Amino acid sequence: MAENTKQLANWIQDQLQADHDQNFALSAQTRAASLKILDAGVFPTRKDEEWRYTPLNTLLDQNIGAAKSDVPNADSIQTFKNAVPEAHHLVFINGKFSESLSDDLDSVKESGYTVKLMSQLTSDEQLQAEGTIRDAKLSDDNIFQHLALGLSQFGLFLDVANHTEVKTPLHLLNVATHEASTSLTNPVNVIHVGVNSRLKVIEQFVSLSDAQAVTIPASFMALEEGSGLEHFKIGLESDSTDHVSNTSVQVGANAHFTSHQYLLGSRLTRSNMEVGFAGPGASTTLRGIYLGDGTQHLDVRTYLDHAHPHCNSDQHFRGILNDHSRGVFNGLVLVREHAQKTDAKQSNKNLLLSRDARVDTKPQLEIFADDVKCAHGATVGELDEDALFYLQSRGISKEDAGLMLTRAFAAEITEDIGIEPVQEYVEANISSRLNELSLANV
Amino acid sequence: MNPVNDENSTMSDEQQTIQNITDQDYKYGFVTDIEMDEFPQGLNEDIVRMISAKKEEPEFMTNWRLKAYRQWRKLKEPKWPKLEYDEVEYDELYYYAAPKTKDAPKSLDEVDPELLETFDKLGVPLEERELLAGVAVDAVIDSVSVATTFKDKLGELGIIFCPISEAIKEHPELVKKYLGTVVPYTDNFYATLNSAVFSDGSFVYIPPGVRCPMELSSYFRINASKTGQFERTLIIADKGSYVSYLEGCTAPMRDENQLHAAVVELIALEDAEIKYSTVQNWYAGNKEGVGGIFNFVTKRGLCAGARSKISWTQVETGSAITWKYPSCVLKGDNSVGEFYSVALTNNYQQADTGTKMIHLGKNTRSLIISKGISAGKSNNAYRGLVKVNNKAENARNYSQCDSLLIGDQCGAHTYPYLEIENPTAQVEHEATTSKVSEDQIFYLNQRGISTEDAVGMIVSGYAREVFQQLPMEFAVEAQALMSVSLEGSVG
Repeated sequence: MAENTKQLANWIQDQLQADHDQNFALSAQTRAASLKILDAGVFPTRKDEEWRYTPLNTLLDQNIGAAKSDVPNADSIQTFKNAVPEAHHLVFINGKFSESLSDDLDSVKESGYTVKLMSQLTSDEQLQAEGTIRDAKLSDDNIFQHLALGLSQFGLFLDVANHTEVKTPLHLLNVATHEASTSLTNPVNVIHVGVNSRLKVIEQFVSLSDAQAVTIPASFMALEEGSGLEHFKIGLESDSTDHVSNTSVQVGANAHFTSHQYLLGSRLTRSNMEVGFAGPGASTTLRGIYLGDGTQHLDVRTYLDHAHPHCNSDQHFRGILNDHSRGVFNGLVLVREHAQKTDAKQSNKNLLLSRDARVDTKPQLEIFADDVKCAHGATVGELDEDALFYLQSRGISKEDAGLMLTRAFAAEITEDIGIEPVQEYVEANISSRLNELSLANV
Repeated sequence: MNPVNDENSTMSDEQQTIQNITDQDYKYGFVTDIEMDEFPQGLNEDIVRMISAKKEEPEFMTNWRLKAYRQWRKLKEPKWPKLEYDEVEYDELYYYAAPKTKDAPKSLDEVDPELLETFDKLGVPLEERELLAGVAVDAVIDSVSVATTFKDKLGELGIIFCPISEAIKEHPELVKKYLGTVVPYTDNFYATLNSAVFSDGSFVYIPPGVRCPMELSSYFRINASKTGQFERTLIIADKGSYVSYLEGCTAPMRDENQLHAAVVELIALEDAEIKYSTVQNWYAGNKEGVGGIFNFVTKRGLCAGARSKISWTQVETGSAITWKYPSCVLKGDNSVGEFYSVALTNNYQQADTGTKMIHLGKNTRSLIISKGISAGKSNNAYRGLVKVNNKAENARNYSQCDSLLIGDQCGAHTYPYLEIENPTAQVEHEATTSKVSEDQIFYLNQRGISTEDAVGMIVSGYAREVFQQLPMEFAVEAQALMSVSLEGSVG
């Protein structure tokens, strides 16, 4: 029994001890600190304040095998590509870049930016990519981030030159395929947006059939002065997938970072996003929906570091929880000394659709400056009875009325997406998920 | 210095007034020179037995204390609050101190005159209170209740209001039935320590259907240096009864940090209501942050019966460190929990305070109004939990937690925890942060009100919702306390 509970730790030990000839994504120098932490192998438990609502037993019990990475045929992933019809598509199969399914990397260059696999960087590029990682101020406690940093063999480096507006969005499609054993994917991606430049990235995580997978990505993003990055994450993995992601963003002066997260799949998702302001006038908009049914566990975490004056942040996350699912929201806004004139908003609203659904929310403020505007709010409740009654009195069945209201609840987030096909795709997925739900409690 | 703030003239005014307040001495900084009964330093089973023997306690109490002591040895001091302080050397503390009085006095004449003088300085003239205010004061100096008034009057109604040490001897059946039922001896580090070594405190029992005709009040004082103060209060409101209880504290100036780990248990049976109000103004340390009381308090009320109600009101202005979460366990159907709090921190004070509302019964309701005010270099955190159990149908909670910052050196933090397991629950949490705006001050200035008074006025207005909950006598005291604590700290 004891061995069984530490499968992931054992896998890590095997990796650490194996005589590797593979190329790792990062340099030995950058990996060293992470390897040390991995070697200690201390995984969080629910006694850790940061993990009190998210049990990791199933994830740590996963029996990780070597991924075979059979390339699926192009048709099977076309529907996912259609989510963003006008985009550069890069496809990763169980974490590994698939040249045959992706657009030509060189064609991307014409749009004004560079996309390279981590393993193919020039030494200058590697310095830059790893510099961005180091700027993120890594925490020793975040073992999952170190799992990606220390042992990742795959990753991307995305660099937008100064004064470049990239019109075509980049679509990163991560596909988990069915394997005999659970596959583990731990890519490290670095996105760098130059001064006054613009970029849109859509990251999608999907499974083919009921692939068993553990996905532990670490992303690092840096926005230079006056730039803008819009990042979308769409999670549609199978319910035998565990997903623990860490995203770390540095927003330069007068730059704006937008993030949308739609967590619709997986058995367990933990999405941790840390946004730091690196200069005055920086701002960020964070949006997200977590929609759970069955026994899904969806955990959204944000950490906003207001280290400079005149920065704005606006967060709005909504949870829809059905069946036995659990939702967790944990957001922290830190306003440091001297970060005067900060305007921070944080909102979390949750809809419980069944008797056994549960939500734990913890919107937090830590404020050390006096001339600031900070507000947060959280609500939990079920569908409004009066609204349901109103719709029924107009001849709409109770079930349809419930769906309508739930869709409307979600639409307040999705209408901000700003890329029409992506918005339609996300809304269609939310609707089909809601249609599947047996809204028994409505 | 600060690129944003260009109002230099206001800044210098501010600095001036901040200077004024930080220069202020603690009003109640004096030491009463009374001989103390002291036990040896440190804590072991013998000390626990000695405390129990000294109190002539029945065996069940001694055993209970020992169980708690053994449990405490297994526990570690919690590190999760947002508080920073030097570790308390628990083995160097004195765990018992009592004024040297041979027999308990029957009337005020028998009370040590020096003690009475102390009360006078604190503004608690016992004889006046007895005659005018109609408040029964169970005065506690360092652990042992010295004088109890109005006891006979209350006795006629069947109300028991006495030191808990007396209740243990005279009403062991009640104590045995209720002590530790809301805060078990295993609860947490400080409550467990308290269970082992508590010296005294108040005991209140209101019989069924009785509405207590006066506010019950107990004044606590920490007096001897290096004496941990371990009060234990137990209030039971039987079916359909009502009681309002007041607790107020001041402490003399000391350089060494003094530990205070009190436990308060409230039990409201069917249709009963308990209103518990606190004004806490213990010594907060000097302006460099030296000294001051460490206040680690466990307060919890159980709404055991249907339609019962427990309401906590607290005004916290003192202590170097406050760790306190007055909570309500809403077990009875249709029961109600309320929490009103004003927490003010200045200089190097740290407060991590809030509440827990645990909804277990159907149609339970809770309300949280928390007003934090940070000034100087202090840190003030609200930490609150709202938990709705799977079986708690139609639970309702509304929380509002506002923070006011005065000056740019302080911190205000909000950590709400919402754990909802029932879809019929309606839970709302809101929090805002603001400062005393220059426009408000300017407006009051041009009406001829000094900046200092203006700030006091604005802060009083900000905290009014909570003050309104206090009984009259307390509201006046609390308002005065706020102005004293805030004088000059203009933002």
